[in-house]
Amino acid sequence: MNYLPKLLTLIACLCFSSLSPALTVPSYQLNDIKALSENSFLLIGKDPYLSFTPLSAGHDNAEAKLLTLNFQLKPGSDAPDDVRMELFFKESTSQAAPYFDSNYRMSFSVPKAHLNSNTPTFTIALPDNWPSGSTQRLRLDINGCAGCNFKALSYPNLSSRHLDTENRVIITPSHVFNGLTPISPDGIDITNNDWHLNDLERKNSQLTLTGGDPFLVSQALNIDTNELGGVQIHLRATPTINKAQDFQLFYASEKHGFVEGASTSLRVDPNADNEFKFIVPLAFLSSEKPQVKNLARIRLDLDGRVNQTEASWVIEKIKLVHYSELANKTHLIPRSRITNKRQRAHGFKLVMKSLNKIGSDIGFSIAYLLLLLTTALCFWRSYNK
Amino acid sequence: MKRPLNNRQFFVLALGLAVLLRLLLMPFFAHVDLFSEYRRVIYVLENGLYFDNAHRPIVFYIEMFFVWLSKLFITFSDGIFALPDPKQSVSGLLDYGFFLSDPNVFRHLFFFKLPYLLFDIATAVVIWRFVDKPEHKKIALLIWLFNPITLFATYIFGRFEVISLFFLAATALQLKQDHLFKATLLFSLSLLCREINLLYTPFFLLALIDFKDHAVRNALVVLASGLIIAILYLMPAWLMTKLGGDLTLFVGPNASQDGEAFKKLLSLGYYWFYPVIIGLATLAIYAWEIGNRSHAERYVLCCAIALFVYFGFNVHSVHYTAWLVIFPVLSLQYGKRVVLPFIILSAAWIVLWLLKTDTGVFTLFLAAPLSSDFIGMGHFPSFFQEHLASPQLSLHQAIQIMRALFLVVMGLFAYRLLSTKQAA
Repeated sequence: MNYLPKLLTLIACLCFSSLSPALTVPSYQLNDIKALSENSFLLIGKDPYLSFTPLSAGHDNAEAKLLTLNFQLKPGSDAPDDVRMELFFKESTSQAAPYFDSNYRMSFSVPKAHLNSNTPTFTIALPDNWPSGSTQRLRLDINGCAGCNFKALSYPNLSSRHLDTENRVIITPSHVFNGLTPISPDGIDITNNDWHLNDLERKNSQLTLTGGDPFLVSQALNIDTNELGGVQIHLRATPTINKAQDFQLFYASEKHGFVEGASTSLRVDPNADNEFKFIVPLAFLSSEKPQVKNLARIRLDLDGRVNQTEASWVIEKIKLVHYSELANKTHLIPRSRITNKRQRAHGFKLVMKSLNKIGSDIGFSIAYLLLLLTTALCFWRSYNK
Repeated sequence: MKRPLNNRQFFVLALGLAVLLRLLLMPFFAHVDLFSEYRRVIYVLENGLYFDNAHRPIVFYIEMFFVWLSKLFITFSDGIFALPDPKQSVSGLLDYGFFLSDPNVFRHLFFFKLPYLLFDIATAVVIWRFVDKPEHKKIALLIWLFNPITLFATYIFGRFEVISLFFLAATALQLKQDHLFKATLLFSLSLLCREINLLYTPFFLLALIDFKDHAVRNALVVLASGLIIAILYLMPAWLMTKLGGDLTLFVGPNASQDGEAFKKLLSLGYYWFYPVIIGLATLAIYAWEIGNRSHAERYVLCCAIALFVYFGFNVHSVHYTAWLVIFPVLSLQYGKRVVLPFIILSAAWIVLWLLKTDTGVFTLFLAAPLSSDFIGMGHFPSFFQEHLASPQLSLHQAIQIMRALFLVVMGLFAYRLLSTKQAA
């Protein structure tokens, strides 16, 4: 009989532990955010975000791709007209501390008026190949809204795509970064509107130089470098420039931003149509050690010499090309090219590279060898006379 | 039993090996100065501005002639050799990098150095004719053909010093043959190759004096020679101006700074100025005192010692040491024992410039045409700082020690040339 209370206690504990997931209270992990009450938050720091595990309504998690958020902006908050948010949706398991991979995120803006309303609920679609799961955490960054006061009217939850979405406010993300994009054999076009400009002004389709340091920066690309061949660039100047122009292509990766050591300088002659069409090879990126996996962005510096400030440029096409395409377009690779690499060849590879370079001017190489032989023979005959 | 080589065989064998060695070096090394030089030459050729540059005109016209000739074999791409602003004719690293990355860089370098090869061989011939004794002849030829200093300056660094040295050697040969007028002409031409040759002018004029001859005749000879030298030296600039040339074609915006440097020099602001002036003045007295010797001997010995004085206190750039080579080689004609000083000079020069080098001398650019990957090799000063430097011996101290040793080598050279003890 002495064992009865202990046995009952054990049974009670087992029953409680089996029920515990259902009884878990949803909670937020906060950074640079002050919790004013259980569901009320004040954004205080430079990097305010909250991470959470969204509730799943018991349906198949593979179908749960719609995330519903219900944050109300309290009156008086000095928020911009559009509140910028960023949702990170892949938690890295390789890190000891909670860490979200920046290659998996989406950016979006929610109108202030909507967040101020009594029904601030909005829904955002997660990518198709989002690695869903009941334990999958998400992180929501709220940017440019320091001092804003939010109230969570309900806990974020996931729902199925198949549910009726007619009454929902669906927010379309401006950018989705869903891991590294492998490059297709046809390449990837970078559209003209995707460029951030410096010392350049866009007028219709033309880019006019406005300063001495003109360059274009792409939006985030996040291209897998494994089969990357390079960047094909096709520009036209108006009025026509018939002299060689200097360009410099910088590339940012997961390891660095735009730095001189990760760039290629080129001097490109115009073609017969006075256009500048060339390829900057980047195939070496995947063989660098440690490997550069992500071509995050590119930046193209134009020739900013003073006497060309009157010139305007038209981007006919800028495209990332597949490795296989590079071999067919070697004629587009400028011969005047300085590539800064992190690793330099050495040993046997260096010797082979040097021999290749000597062999690239085959006419000279043959004439040079003949000259050496002829000279040696002439002196030998003269010596033996 | 093998027969020893006769003079002709020795000359052919040495020259053959030397030419092959030079041909092997020519296409594969360069310094940015070579590119800058030829970019100016090509600019003048393409724009027809033949009378707009009076700076070292002999060298410039020789290089221009060879570029014109080499157009049969090479195409000078606008993209590489374009000089947007002739006032800024010294190449930047980017332009030089494009030159090095060009697939035709080797043939460019080969043709650019071709005039230097011809003058180098011509100098060897002059030395061979200048020195009479067979043993001394051979030593002089070997030193000239295989010393690392002129090989480096001409075929690795890619500078034109041998053109100037050829005219100086030819002057000595003409003096030996008592052709004073021809010697004066050749000496004047040497002045149009390198400004430093002005340093020798007083000693050349003193060497023309024949102390057994009448004073008036000597005065006339020296005066006439001085006049010829002055006219020939100043004539290119005067003539070009008369022909409508603008001599400021390649004069950059830093010219005023150079003027400041010159003023500083005149105000004796440089620490080395006093010893050099004192040394040269003493040398002039010596040149007078050895008036009983031949024209050529006085010219060769005094010019050699003038340079020892100069280089005892200045080292300037790595390739300038090539100026030091010609007169001691010619002094072998007079039985001077210069072999050991040459060996020590070569060693001291290498060590000094390994330490004093910047990234442009021994590693960064010189091997670059072969493969730009050599750029990643680093250079000796960083190796020294990492592995050899200590609180007791910093890089700066090591350079100062080597400069002091260089002065000692100059002293040894001077002693050997002044000494009456003859080589065997």
